[in-house]
Amino acid sequence: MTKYILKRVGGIIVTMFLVSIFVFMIIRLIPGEPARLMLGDKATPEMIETITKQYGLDKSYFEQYMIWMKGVLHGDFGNSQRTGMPVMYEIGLRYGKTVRLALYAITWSVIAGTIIGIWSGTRAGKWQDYTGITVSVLGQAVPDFWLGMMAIMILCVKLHLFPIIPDGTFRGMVLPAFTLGAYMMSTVARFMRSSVIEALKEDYTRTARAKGLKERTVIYKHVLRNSVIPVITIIGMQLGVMLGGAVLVESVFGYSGIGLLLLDSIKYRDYTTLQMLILIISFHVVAINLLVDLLYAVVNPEIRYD
Amino acid sequence: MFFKKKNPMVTEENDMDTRWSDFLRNFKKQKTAVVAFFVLVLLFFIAIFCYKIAPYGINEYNYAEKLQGPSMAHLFGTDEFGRDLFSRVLCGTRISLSIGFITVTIATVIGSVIGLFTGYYGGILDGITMRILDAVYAFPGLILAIAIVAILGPGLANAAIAIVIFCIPTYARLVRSCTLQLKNSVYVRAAKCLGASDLRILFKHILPGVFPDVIVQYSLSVSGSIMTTASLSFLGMGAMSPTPEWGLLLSNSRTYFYSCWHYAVFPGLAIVITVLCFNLLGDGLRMALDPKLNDRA
Repeated sequence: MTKYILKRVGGIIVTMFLVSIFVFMIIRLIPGEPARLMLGDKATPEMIETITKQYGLDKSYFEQYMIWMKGVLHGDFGNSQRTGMPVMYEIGLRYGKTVRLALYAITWSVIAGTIIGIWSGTRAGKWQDYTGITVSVLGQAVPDFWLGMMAIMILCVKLHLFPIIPDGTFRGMVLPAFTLGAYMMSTVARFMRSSVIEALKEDYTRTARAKGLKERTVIYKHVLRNSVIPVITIIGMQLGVMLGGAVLVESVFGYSGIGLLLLDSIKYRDYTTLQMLILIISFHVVAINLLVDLLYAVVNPEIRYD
Repeated sequence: MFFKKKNPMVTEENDMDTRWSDFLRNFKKQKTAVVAFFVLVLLFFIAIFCYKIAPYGINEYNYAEKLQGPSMAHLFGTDEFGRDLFSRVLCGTRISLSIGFITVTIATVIGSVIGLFTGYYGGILDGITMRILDAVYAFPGLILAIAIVAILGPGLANAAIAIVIFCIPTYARLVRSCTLQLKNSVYVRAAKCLGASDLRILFKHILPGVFPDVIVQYSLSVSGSIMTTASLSFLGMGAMSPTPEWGLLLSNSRTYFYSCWHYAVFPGLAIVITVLCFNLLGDGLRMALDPKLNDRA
C-alpha cells in the first residue's frame, strides 16, 4: 500500500510539472509582448522595462520558468493585473464560495443519484426503472446553463420561491447547487443502476437469498456494499467535470466564486490570475483523483496494486 | 442465437457480413436508439437544407416585430432585432452538427493513431505520451477549452481547436488499451508469423478490432462537443454575433429573460434534443456491439 501511494504521488508530481509548463506558457503563447499583456494598454516604456526585469522576461524560457516556479512554490503568485491586489488574495476571497457550492451540489446529487440508482436497479424493467432511466438520461443531455436559466425563470421569476441572485443564504444556494449537481446525479444514478443489476446476479446474492435473509437485508447489506465501489470512481471522475460546470453555473446565477473570477480574468485580460486559477483547478482535479484511487484501495482491499 | 445458415467455408468477406447482420439485429432491439437514430437523420436533413426550409432569413431584421412571442407567423417568436427565432434555431443545426462532427473526427483520427502506435510499440515513447495525456486530463474539459480560447482568442474556429485538443486523450487512451489487449491475441501473432509488417498488423488487424469501441465513444463525444461549443458560445468565447449558434442565442436571451420566455426556451430545447439523441445512439451502439451488456445501463 505504501509503495502504491508513493508511486501515485510520484506520478502526480510529473503530471503537475507538465501542467505547470502549460500554465506557464499561457501568457507567453498569447500574441504580443508578455510585459505589455501583463501591464495592459496604458503601460509606459519604463513600466514595461521594470516588469521585464522583475520577471526576467528578457531571459531564456528556462530561466523564466525557474523564476516563476520559485515564486509559485513560495506562495507568490504575483499581483492581479486588474485590481493590483495579490492573486492569492483575490482567489482566497472566492475560493470558499465555490467549495460551498460544490459541496452542496455533490451532497444532494450523490444521495439522490444513489437512491434513484438502487430504485431503478432493483426494479429493472418495471415502470419505476423507466422513470429512473428517463430522469438520468435527460439529466445528462440538459446543458447546465440552460437548466439554471429555466430554473430561474420558473421558480424565481414566476413562482417567487427563491431569490434570483444567490444572497449567501441557504435558500439562495438551492438553485445553483441543484443546477450544478444535475449532471452528477444522472451519472451516479446510471452507474448505480447497472452496478446493482450486476451485483444482483452474483453468487453471493443468491447465497444470501438462499439463507433466507429478508430482501431488504440482501439489498442493503450485500448488494449495495459491492455496487458502491465502481460508483466511487465515477464520482471522482465527475468532480473535474463539475469544476468546469461551476464556471457556467456561477455565470448564470452571478455567483461570485472561482468560476466567475476565471471568466472575469479572461474578460479583463488579467493573465496572472488566469494562470493561477488554471493551475489551482488542475491541482484540485489531480488531488481528487488521487484521493479517489486511495479510497478505492481502502474500500476494496482485494485489489492488488503492484 | 446460432441458427444461421452454415457456410462451408468462412471467408473474410462473409464473416464481415455476419458481423454486420449481427450488429443490425442487436441494434434493432434497442428501440430508443433506433428512434434517436431517425431523429438524427432528420436533424441531418435540416442541417443540409436549413437555409431552404427556413421561412425567414437568419439576419432579416424587422424592428416592428421585435421580441414577439410564438405565433403562426413566427413559430418560436422573434428576437431583439425582430429576427425569426425558428429560422435561426433551424440554421443553428448546421453549425452545431458540423462543429460536432469535424472536431470529433479529427480528434478520433489523431487520438487513434497515437493510441495504436503507443500501445503497439510501448517503451519510453509510450510512457512519455501517456504522461502528457495525463496532464491534459488534469484540466476539466471546459476549463481546458477556456484556457485555449484565452490564448487563441475567441471565435468558433478557435473553440473547435480547443475541443479537438481535449478530445484527443480520450481516444488515445481508449485505442491504446484495446491495442494492448489485441497485440498478444492469437490472430495478431499469426499475422506476425506470416511476415506481416507492423503497419499492416496495426491498420489491417488491430484497427478493426478497436473499431467498435471507437464508434461508441464517437457518438458520445459528438454530443459532448456540441455541448461544449454551446457552452463556450454562451460564455462569449465561441460563436460571435450574428451567427445563429444555439449557445450564443441563449446568451443573448439573458438580457430579455424576464419578459421573453420563448427566447431562452427554444434554443435550449434544440441543444437538449440533439445531445439526447447522440447519447441514446451511443448507448444503443454500445449494447448492439457488445451483447453481453444488454441489460446494463
